[in-house]
Amino acid sequence: MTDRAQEDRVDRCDKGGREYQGGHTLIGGVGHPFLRDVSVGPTLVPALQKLEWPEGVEIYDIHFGPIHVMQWLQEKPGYYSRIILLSGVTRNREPGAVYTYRWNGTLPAADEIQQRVCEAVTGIIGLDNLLIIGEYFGVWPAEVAVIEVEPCEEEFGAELSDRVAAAVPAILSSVRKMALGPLDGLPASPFGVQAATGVHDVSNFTNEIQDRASVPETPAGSVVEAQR
Amino acid sequence: MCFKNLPIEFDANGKAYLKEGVRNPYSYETRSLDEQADRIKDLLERNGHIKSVNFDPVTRVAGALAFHSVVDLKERRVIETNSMATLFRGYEVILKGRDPRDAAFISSRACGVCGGVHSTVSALCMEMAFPVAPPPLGIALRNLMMALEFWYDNPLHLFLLAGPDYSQAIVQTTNPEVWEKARHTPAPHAEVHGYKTVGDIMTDLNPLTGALYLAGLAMTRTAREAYVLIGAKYPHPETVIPGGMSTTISLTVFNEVYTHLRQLFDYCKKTACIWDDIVDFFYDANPDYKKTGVRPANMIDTGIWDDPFSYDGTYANCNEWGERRWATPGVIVDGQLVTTKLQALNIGLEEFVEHSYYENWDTPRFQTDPVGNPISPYHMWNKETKPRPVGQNWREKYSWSTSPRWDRKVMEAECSARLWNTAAGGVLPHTRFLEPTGTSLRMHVPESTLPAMDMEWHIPDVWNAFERNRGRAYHLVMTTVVALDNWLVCMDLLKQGKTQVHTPFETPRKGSQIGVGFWGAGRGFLTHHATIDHGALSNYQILTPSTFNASPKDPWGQPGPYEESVLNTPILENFSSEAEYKGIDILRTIRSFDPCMPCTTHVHVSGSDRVITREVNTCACGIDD
Repeated sequence: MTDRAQEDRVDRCDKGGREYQGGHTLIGGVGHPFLRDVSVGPTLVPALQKLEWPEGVEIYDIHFGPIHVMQWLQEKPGYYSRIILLSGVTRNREPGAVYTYRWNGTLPAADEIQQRVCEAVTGIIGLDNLLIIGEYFGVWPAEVAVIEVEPCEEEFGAELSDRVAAAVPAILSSVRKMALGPLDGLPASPFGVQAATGVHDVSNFTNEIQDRASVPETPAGSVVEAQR
Repeated sequence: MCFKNLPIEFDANGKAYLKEGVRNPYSYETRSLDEQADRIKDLLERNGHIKSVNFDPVTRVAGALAFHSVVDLKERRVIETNSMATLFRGYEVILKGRDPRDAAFISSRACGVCGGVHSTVSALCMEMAFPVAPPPLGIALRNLMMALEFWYDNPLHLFLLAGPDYSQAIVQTTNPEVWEKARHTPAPHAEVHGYKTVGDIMTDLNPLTGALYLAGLAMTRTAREAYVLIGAKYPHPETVIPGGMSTTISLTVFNEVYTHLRQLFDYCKKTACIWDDIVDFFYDANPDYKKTGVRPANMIDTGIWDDPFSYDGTYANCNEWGERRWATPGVIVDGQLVTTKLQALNIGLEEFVEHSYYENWDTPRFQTDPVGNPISPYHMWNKETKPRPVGQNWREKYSWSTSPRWDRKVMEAECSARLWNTAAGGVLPHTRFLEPTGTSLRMHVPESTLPAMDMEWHIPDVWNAFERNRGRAYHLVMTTVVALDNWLVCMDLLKQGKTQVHTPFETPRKGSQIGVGFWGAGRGFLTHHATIDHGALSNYQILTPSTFNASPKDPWGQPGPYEESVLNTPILENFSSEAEYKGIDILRTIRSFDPCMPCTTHVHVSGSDRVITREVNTCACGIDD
């Protein structure tokens, strides 16, 4: 083995020397904790973890900051083939509405990226910063999809608003379908573009999930495997 | 005699007293800013080359800062400045009425970049109030964690926030002649950092792509990894508590910490040499750069890193245990160290709100500190936080920052003050790796890939933006050897079987208690003052370094450190029209302070548990002239 090949292999190995295998799916809850609907991502992580998942699906609270997440993913290149991010994001849309899209990898200008890095290292946790920083530092797999919830309440506290709480079953269902099914039906978008999926009223969103029930209930591993 | 403005003197035993015959020792008259505001308004109306230049927000700083300046583009000078903290940090309000044991966990959230310092200073404050003193290993561990935290903080400043101001990308645009010179100027410390020319250093300071920028980013990971080996979590560790630490320590942990620590030995040598070369190059390229961000060397620092065998947490003994810290406490006035006593430092503190979005408070609760030294009605133990964002204009109120002063002088909070106080103080007991000379601080850094080196920081003859950055680079060196020294102390304690990291305590449920934590953040000074009544916090006051540095004008019209240093900054940038002007000299000055503004907006709603996190943003855009 050449030195270079050895280095490449080391890059692909965990601390025990086991080579990372792709095909895993990460579901991550993103956002500051304890800010009610803004924290819907981290808040729903325990509920997601209680669901039955096929092997290869991992669910983490990744509220620990975009730079930290990026460095964590740098440790395991190629390990995840798909990443689903769930977050409450305020974009002055219909409160309680839920949006889904596939991250299309569009980056802003260099100055803006630099500012996002500065925000991230100084303590700002947020979906947009994470998407931009992950893209710039090349840690995203080919498939990254997002579920955003427009917060109704942003005060300090652990509880979701009534409206977002009512949407939880639909959100969980949507996360599951995005993690396990094909992403082809989702619009591709840069972060935060409202027009990507339009506003989904919570009641309609449940219908939409049902409409998309054609997503095969195949175990995730095989779906991801088929796409590779 | 360290006080010149406050009527405080000391008796033969060092106890302070108010001068006799002074009827209202702390009264003052407020100077109106109307005349200055009218003059500036008139200049702006009559001269096309005098412009308002606003930076809102100031980018590449932590948190929300806006800066308003009036610049004479023809004469190339700044004629007016206003520093605005645009977000309200209401932790003082949030903490009122809480269980004192929660103070460390809640107050830690005051800042996301200073992720552990507020926990620690809060623990110190409660240790004084309860009272309780940690065992030696608990103290040494906190010292070690503090040093590791600076390894997150200082490289961020030097290479991600302020560093790009000296990069090829910026300098080539704003001062092409300086860039041309840099390309052909050999770097004096090439054998240490590996860069042949100053231009090579500048290229690697480029944001996003430069090797120094990326290495700074990577260093944040090393620091965090080492920190959490001890503290379990960063930011906002839940293992730093009154009485010491709530963590389990083993030889394995210390071995793992050392593998991280060893990475810092070479990094700190290179960092200090890189900034030596950058600073000296700019001075050589144009001596007027010595005026960038210049202001009198008036600095205040509480010192940090407690002696594990002296610290007892008491106010009565704080002069003694303070002077045994690895970084000596002190106040510097016009470059001269005037005290190293924590009590003198404490009783000289006052906080004013004439030009801040608060109203003054009523009857002061205390006239003296716990040992009978006089304190001001405007001291933190007497202060109440009463937000009132009205009268928004440059004449009345324009910032959420208050105006802290010491002896009614404008003080700067700087990590370099740790080097300065320690170098000049002559009281440092820990000399395994540190050697104060009176005018410099020698630091012995062990070998790693590079050989062992003696690094020396000299007290500068001018205090400006460049020296702030150089000082911060050398602060990393100091931090590294203090971390190593404390690691060795920990290992000795472990060998002796002294593994206790916490002292049990009873939380007071009756009566009144008082405390202050004297500590520091990555950029300098940090205190928490608290009172407890009947088992609950009745007052809690946080004084951060950026509150000093970002302060608006005080009652006497004295500008805060950002304001004053920008006023003194010559415009050295090359531009041929107003449209080309970028303001790099002003930005270099502001960023040299490593601003860390309170970064979240939290308002407690009276009578409820609600905390609002929006709608208290007071941007510069709507302010009246």
